[in-house]
Amino acid sequence: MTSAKQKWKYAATGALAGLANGMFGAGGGMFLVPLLIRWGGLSQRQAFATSVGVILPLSAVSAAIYFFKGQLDLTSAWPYLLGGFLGGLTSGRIFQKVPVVWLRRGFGLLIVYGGLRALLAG
Amino acid sequence: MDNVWNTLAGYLTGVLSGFGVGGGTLLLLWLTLAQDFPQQRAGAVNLIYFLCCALPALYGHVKNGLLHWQAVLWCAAAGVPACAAASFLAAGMDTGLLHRIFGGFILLIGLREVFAPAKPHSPGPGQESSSSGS
Repeated sequence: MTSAKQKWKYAATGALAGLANGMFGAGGGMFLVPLLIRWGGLSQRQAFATSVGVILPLSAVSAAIYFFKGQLDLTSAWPYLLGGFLGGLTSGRIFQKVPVVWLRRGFGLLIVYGGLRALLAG
Repeated sequence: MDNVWNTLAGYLTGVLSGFGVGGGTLLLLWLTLAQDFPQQRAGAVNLIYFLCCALPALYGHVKNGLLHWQAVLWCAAAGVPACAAASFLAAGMDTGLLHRIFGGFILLIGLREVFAPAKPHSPGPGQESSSSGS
């Protein structure tokens, strides 16, 4: 049974992820994964998988808002949608075999590089 | 030829997104830095892309008993209204400023990922072995 305190921790985690996803269109998972491990006590692998389940409804809401504001151009998006679908299929199949710690390290390095470039390019 | 590279970018980031390790953030960088998409348009493409890759990935995660349903429920209950409010706010903001905020935000996240301890924190009571929520 999940305690009331635990539910509040999940809710705070979800709210932070929601703010990031709504504001930037990405990045919610980077709040979810560490906080689900730290506050929720989930195993690392569970936290990664659960974060995908949380971000799905958040992305659906944001996408609907962007669509109604006329900022969603599906004609240029289709290669990413096709690639993303195939990538999702692959990840669901191989997730259990991947050492998650090294994925996080590699991702961290790429993101530091991207963050510096975005900051400097503005 | 561009479409082949873009599909490949979607595939590679899609694998990472399905793992929950930030493929969407990487795709956003590809769209803004390599394809010159404005920040808001890139964010919109990224959101719809995530719907396409999260569904098949989740199918695999649920089948493997890795989803913590209580966490999904409570995180989504608070996250959906927060996300809606932030989306409205972002749509009316200056793109250059938004890009810089995003850069600072992911820089912090990246440093945290690189320097995080290899071992996760010790799990809370009764949580580690639970595979489908308590």
